[in-house]
Amino acid sequence: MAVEVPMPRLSDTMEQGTVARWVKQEGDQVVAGDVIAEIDTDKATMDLTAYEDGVLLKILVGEGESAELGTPIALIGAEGEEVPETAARGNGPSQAAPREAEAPEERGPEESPPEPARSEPPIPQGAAATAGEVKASPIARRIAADAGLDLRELAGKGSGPDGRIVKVDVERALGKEGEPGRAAAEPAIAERAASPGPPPSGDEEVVDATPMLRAVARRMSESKATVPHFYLDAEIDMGRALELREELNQALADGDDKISVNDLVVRAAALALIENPKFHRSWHDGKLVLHKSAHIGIAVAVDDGLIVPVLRSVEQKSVRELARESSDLVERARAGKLKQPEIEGGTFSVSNLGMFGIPSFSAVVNPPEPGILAVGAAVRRAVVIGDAVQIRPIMAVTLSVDHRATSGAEGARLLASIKRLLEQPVLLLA
Amino acid sequence: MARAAGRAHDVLQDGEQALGLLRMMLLVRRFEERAEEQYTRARIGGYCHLAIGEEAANVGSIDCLEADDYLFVSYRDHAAALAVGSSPAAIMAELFGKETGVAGGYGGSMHLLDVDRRFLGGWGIVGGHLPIAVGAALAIDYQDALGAVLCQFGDGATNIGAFHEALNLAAVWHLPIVFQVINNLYGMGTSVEQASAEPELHKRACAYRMHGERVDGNDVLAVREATGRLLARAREESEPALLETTTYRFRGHSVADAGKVYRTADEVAAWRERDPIARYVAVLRDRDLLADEELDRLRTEVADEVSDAIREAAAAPTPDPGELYENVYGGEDWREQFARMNTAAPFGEREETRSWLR
Amino acid sequence: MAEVTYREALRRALDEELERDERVFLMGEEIGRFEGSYKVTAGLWAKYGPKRVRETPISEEGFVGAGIGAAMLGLRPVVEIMTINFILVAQDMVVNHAAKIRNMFGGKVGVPMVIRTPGGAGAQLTAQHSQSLEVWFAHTPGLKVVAPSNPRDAYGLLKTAIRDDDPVLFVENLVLYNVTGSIPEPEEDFTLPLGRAHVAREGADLTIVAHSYTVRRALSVADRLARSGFEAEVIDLRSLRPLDVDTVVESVRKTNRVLIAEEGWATFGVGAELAARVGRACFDDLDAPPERVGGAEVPMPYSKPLELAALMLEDKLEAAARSLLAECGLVEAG
Repeated sequence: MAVEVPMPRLSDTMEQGTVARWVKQEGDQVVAGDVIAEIDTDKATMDLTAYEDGVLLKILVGEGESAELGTPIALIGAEGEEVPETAARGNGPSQAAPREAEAPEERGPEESPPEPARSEPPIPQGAAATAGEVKASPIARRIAADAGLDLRELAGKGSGPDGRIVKVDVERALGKEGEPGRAAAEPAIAERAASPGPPPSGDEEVVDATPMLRAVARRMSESKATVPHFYLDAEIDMGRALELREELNQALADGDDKISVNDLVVRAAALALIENPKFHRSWHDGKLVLHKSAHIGIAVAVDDGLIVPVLRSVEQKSVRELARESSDLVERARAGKLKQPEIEGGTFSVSNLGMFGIPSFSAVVNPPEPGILAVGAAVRRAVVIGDAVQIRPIMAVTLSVDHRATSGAEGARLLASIKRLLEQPVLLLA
Repeated sequence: MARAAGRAHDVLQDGEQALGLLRMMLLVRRFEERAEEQYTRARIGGYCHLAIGEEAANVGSIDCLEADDYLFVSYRDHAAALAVGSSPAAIMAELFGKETGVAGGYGGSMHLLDVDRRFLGGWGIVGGHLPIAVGAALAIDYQDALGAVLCQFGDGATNIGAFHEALNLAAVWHLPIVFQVINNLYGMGTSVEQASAEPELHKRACAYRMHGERVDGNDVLAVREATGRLLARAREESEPALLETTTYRFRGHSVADAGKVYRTADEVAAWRERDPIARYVAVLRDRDLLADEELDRLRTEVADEVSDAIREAAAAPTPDPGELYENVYGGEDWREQFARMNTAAPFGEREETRSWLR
Repeated sequence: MAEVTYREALRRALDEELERDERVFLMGEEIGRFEGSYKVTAGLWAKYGPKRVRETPISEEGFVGAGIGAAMLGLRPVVEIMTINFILVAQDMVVNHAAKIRNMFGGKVGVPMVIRTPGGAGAQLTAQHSQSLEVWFAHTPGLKVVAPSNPRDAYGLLKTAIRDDDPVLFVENLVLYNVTGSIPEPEEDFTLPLGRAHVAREGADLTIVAHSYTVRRALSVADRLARSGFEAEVIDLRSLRPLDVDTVVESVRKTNRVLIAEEGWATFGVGAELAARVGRACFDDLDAPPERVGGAEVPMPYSKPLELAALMLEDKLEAAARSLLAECGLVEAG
């Protein structure tokens, strides 16, 4: 008796989802725990896991098509089982229309924010983090974990029963072909994805990338490949902002709170986003998600990596609260102690390389956010004010924008708001 | 009361020995009464089988043992332990489960022993010690040694396979062993008539062409005479014998049995009239070997001795659970032999270390 | 070195120990004039006489008990039970008495005794004469149990068992009696310690654990596996109590795969014990759960095809090994 696979509820606010990609095709063997599809939700693209063993008999909702929660999107059953002609399609507003040209064609298992292995709240080291999804023998897991190999790359393709990953699979993936003295006969195994690459030369060393770097690489590639970026530059006179900051910090000198420049920038961005709703929205396959609250991700460089914790509802928080929260998030980000919700759900990001003395740069949008503000160092320069030349601290910012979500004009308006707020910083306290 | 070689068979010739026999019976009686009392105070746990009423059958025969002889008895063994001369305090301590007990607290009431005095237990399986007693006789024979083995057991043990096998082996191999059936007419709640096709138990010996004999088990002198004679025969001729000593227990099978369901009050009363201690006292008085003051003095003496034993046992320490494994094996390298069986817990119970976490 | 049968190795060990220690003596049915039903004691009665080679009536409970009593007095009896099936009538003596005496008497007296007995099946001896009951005794604290698989081990372990101060069940095997091997010369006074397993064959692909005759079957299967390109490591336990768990664990940490094979019934058997211990000690090292294989869980039937179906033969062992390898993605190519 074939079992229906319903559109699953993969986030608390999800009401419908879109099949981004079928990982298993009709006729494929499925084992409970296998990832069979990727589903775009209101927040991100999530894995759909099978709960049954069997064969994927029929796909009911194709790639690019949407369905409401609970609607059957596929059937799993026994090999050769007859499938009813009119499998229930439910009442989801399915979209048979081809996806936007910019829609991702090839996406890896994706999570919402640009952080490493989704299910592991503290920044994980090993692929053992996804233990629940991937069937592998204990020794295979251990070897993979020690080597930093993500078992999901081999998931379901192992040589053990029902595609379980076993020791030989992991050894082959890591390039350890047998041990000395082993007999000649080569055991047959499932194929593995070839990883071509030039053999290292004498003055090079090859190491395995950590899961975090792998995740960042994946996210950045996707973003650049799928999000149509455009860039807007602005220069902001930070004189009064720096004075305000100075004044604030002196007044707060007794306590632990310390306001940073970035705190002011983040608050400015939040207020600007609320002022500019036509910017503050995300693209979702023909739909626009209008953000009511500004959740701002702050890019934090950690030891050989990048992570973006999210400050929530920034427009409702005072500068002091922001300072406290961001300080805590940064500290915990560097210690690898962030929790899952803290790296999800951003509606905009700020990346600040000012502390490295970089005058200006442009950043890569974190989909599904509409934009990211790259902040440079405030540099003392000669500027013309009125008819006089003054020396002012000038900070260059670059706004990268997802052209699907919004237009150049909106981006310009947002930047103008940010500039205004920072150049009249008392407004940040309003 | 230590055993000495060359003791006169007619104990009445020696006033001191005669009184010594009485004193031992009084000691057993008093010890058993107090043991019963201590059991009700929960200082003694598990099983507790009392020999009240059987003093003559127990003590009379053990009194004949000589320095090279060995003794094996069943679980109703407090009398045996006392009769061979073990300290009452050490016996009581074993009943209390204390470290100073004769078996270190590891055996309890049923497994008393005194290796130095060649009293090799104290056995819990009905009839189980009979083949083992035969083995001791075999060892004596093997070593061309002088001794003999006295093996006591109850009427209940005469119907189990081990009885038959032991008697057969003792006879066919001509071993120096005296099998003494202490027939108190009941095996737990089952009478001998009910359980045995041949209730005259000494007659069973003929199946093995073994000498069989019966005496009044409540006549300590008769028991002593018969046992002494048969042990001498065993030592000298290396021939076994079966001696039936009929007696009666005034209490139930154990402290947990009132002994009333399967016996009538009249029967018990009738046997009390033939109390072995009273009978021996009468004999001694008759021969002017016992004055009343002497009897009272002896009673008081043994009462104090038992009280002291209880006090000493109560104050003794309990065995250390940390030594739980120390006596399972005895070879000097047993620890090394077992070293690779389990890295944490020695004998396979729950591993304390999480050795699989690496 | 002398090349002898397993039977002869045992005989030599008995002879040498009888010679060495006058406390040692033998007891059993037909061990004297008849020279032993399996001829293990051939010539010993003639050499040492009836006192030291004592024939018994059919009275296992009686003469095992007698052995216990003699041992308590300091002698060193070696009691033969014709086949392990008959030990059951003496079970009370072995388990309730021999195993318990030292402990229940507070360590004050021991039982330095050996019970030798062959187990195993294969000659259509049917249900009551074809058992392998050694695990019943390996289960029991106070006993030691050994089961040598070859003449050299039989020789060395029997000498150690006789010199051991505790009751030792020495498990032989009917089929093994005729197997040959070399044993050291008497002058070497060769003994083997209890509780030490032996790696009979090294390999990296899986560990096969066995004892007694099954070791030979395992080695034969290892050769078959080698022709397929899989190298099995074969561990000969030699001793069931004490059990050398460490040697098995070391091997499984290397091969990541373990199959425990025994002639007896697997349920509640040696494999059950080792699977539990290996499962714990090698939790993160396993490529598949521990596997075990034993004889069919039926009373051994008489008719030859039925018996063959019930025995734990090489084919069954090989199938279990290959199944385990397949679970780990190792299947012969082609």
